[in-house]
Amino acid sequence: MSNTKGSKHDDCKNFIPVDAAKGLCAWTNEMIAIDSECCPKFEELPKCKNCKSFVDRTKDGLGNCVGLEDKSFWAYGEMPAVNCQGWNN
Amino acid sequence: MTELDLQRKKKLGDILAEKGLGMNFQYGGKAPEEIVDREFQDLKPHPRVEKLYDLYLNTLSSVSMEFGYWYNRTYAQHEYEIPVYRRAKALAVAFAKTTPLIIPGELIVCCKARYYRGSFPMPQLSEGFFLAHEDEMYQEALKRGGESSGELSRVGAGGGNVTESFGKIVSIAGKFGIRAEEVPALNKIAKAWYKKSVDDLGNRWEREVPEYDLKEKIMRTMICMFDSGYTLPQGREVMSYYYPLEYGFDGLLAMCEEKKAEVAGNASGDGISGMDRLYFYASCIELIKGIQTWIENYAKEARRLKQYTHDPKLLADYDKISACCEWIAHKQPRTFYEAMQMIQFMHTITLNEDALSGMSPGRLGQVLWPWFEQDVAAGRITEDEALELLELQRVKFTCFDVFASFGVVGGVLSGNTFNNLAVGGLTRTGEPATNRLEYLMIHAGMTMPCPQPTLSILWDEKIPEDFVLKCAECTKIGTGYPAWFSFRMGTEFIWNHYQKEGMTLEEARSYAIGGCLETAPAVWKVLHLGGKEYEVPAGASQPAAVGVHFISNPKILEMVLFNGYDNRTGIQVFEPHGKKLESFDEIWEVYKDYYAKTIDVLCKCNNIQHDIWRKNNMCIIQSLFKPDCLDKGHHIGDMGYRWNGTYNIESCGTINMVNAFVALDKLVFQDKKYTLDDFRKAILANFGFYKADEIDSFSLAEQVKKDDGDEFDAIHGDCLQAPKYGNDDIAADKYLILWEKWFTKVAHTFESLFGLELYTCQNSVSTHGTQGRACLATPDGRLYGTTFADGSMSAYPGTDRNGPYALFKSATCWDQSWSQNSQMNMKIHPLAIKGENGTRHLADLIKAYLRRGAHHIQFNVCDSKVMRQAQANPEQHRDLLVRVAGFTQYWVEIGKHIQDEVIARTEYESI
Ligand code: SF4
Repeated sequence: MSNTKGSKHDDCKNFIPVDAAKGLCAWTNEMIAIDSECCPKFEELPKCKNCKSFVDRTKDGLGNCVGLEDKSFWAYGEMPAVNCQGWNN
Repeated sequence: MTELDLQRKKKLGDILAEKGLGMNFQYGGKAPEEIVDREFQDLKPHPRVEKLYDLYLNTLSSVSMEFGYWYNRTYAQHEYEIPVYRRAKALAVAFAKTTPLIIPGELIVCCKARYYRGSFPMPQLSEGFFLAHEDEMYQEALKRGGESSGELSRVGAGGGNVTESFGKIVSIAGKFGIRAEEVPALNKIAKAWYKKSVDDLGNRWEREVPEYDLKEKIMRTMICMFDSGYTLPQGREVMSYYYPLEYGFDGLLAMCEEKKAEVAGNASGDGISGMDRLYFYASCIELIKGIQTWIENYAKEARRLKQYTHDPKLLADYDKISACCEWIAHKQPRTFYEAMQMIQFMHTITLNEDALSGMSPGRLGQVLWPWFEQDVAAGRITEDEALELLELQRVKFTCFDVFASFGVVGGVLSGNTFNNLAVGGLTRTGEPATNRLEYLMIHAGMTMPCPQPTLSILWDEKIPEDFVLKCAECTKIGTGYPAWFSFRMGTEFIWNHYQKEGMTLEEARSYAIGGCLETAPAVWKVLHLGGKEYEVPAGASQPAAVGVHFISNPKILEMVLFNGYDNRTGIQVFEPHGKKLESFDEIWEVYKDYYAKTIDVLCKCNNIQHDIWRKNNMCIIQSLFKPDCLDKGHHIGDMGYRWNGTYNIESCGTINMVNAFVALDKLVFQDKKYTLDDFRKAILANFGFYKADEIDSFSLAEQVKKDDGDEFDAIHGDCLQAPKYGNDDIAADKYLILWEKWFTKVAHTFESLFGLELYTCQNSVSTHGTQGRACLATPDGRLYGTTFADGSMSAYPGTDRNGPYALFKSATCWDQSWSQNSQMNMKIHPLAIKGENGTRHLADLIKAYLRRGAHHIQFNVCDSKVMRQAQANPEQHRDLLVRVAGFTQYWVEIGKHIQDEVIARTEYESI
């Protein structure tokens, strides 16, 4: 369980995205809007925005990733990092 | 004009009806007042399938950046690598990193992106169209002719299309939704490809063609619909599933390692490309590893999802999925279920490499037969369980979206992806190839009606009658599939064309349909399973609809009549011919000259685009899957496939052109009733009618006359009354013969980038709507902006007055085996073929046409009133399916100009 402040459902591990607007909660199998309020069961999904290697963040959600082989490359905070070996929190 | 203004004005259909010249949109009787439903509406899919399909119907077409991000990052990281290896690395990492998505209840898993109906942009092909509108680069891209098709294209306003931005969802191309948070990443990636994409580089180099200026004008005036090399460079071809199904991915890895060692440093007598084999095999190895990780990630995701449920059924599903994915990531599938899952992975992997449509499973029932046969015999699966899997596959395939530009998705594809599954045909040795699994595939098309995979039957006299009747029953449910093809005509075309590349008749028999109607060659491969050997077909060709696409035949005639000048845009397209056009022969000569010039410049420019594509964005995935790349050590760009002469010329509006020739020749040169100037004046005045765009209606009968439009009544009436194609009237059909004799032969005088002859492809997809909108009135009486007749053999709506057999005789007045395809659409009222007798009548009708030497026919079995209702209340008809040109699509997801044309097609009340 984590702090849900400022988070949306597609920031949560328990969320199964269906489309850009909505998805299923894996616990309830209910359809929920991505932008509706998260519940206390929220668990943070690895994304670039919660990785320590995501630096120089800009207000439009972009930044730099310094956590991988290429040393530095732009990244976007919303990208899921479930399969990123460099994700570090 | 307001709605009320419109109501007060006269429509063409009413005007003609008053004069006793009704456009006769119903043949063979009158449809009852009440709406008649299609048959077999009580069939239902399995409950889990129904749930997943309901979810699909409520899912928006959505785009995410994850796959594209990893592709681009890795591509940048390997800037100085050999191009093929660089691209393989980028693809492999993108597959390995993309987050898997499994929806509870699914048994067959794998999505293109992390959305149920997800896709992603590929700016490496073309970046301009999704750059922000105010962006200077986008404006520059707009100036280029290749993008102008977007201006006149329409995507259907309903269904899963995100036609407008809402909340935090931004609409792209009027179809896809993307999270606003991801837009900066999209723009960043798009900008990175500015002047580097296949589109931009292709454009830079095609300018070297001396006649480039003509090409630009041809595109701007919509004489041609779209560029080929960067829009949908792959597709309209048949998949080969053979290699992973036979060897498993570990087997392929071992094979590539062995081959790599064999060729490293050896040219083997080929000083030009012998050395390239090393890089190709090394690329395949990278790619296979990425694919394996992707599949394993699905196994992991299935295991992860177990934590959320105690439902034993769901837990069993997850166990089944994870065990299957773990196995097929490495080995040959053991069961029908594993083979089905392998197909899903292979198909999705292929779709993720390029923007592509028409990636067809081909004769999948024959490919999967070994697993089905052995599982059923061993009691591992029941037919009902197999049916459920086939239904699940239909939903998964329907979820596929192709992300391409507005002009392509709306104007050509109508949002469709054309994954064509063929049944029937003959084996290598000429026996019927149908099997019990194909029967179930047709049945799944009935229990789970949805657009993909669309179905085609390769009909031959030897196909068992009960199978033919099953297919006819399926046609009656009104989804528009299966489309009916003559196997003999297809084989004849394929064999004639590919003999130059060494094809035998036995090999020709392995063909299937790629895309809507593209006859695509294949080969036979020997598959081993459970100690038995089977011969299965495997697609083995380049895309069978790339090259020169689509030339508007009526628009070329317009150019002839107006001395090469386009009145819509004010562009002088061709050098003025300056001829007086004193005979039909003279018109025909100029027509051929303009047409040949059009093909010539488009062919050269598209060759360059495709060449850039094969050098910088070559296909590696299909090269891994398709014969004979692994044997030769060459990818598609280096002619690794067995059959490479697939490039062609697609036309649009053939029947309007034919009817226009008839009217001109008769009224100007034979009867001398009007001069060509009379015609020019009437065309420029649109025969006294409003333009279709002004009244937002695109079928002829609905066109509205201006208050002062009477001046052209006589000439318009004569044009409409001139003989028309589709009535077994040689006075009209002789112009079709004239056209086909020239068009199908002239195509062979042009050459693709592979140095092989072009041929003709005659299906319009949705371009008859878009290109109709760019075409002034035509001498056949058609009005400005209205949709052309679809395909190439369908009659213009309302003009086939002598019944189906007369139409068939007209359509077969030429030898259809000269062309890759031809296309015939018919609309039949459900009552006309009701019951068992109706099914037999329908089958007899089809056979009668195909036996005459036709290539193809397909049907909309639907009461036109349902379509009208759906147009008025789309929200009540989310799942209504119709056949458009060569594909089935949701009514609510097609544009209005196509909807109007489908409604207007002649409805047969009896056959
Ligand atoms: S290391 Fe991975 S998760 Fe972290 S910022 Fe880089 S790409 Fe994102």
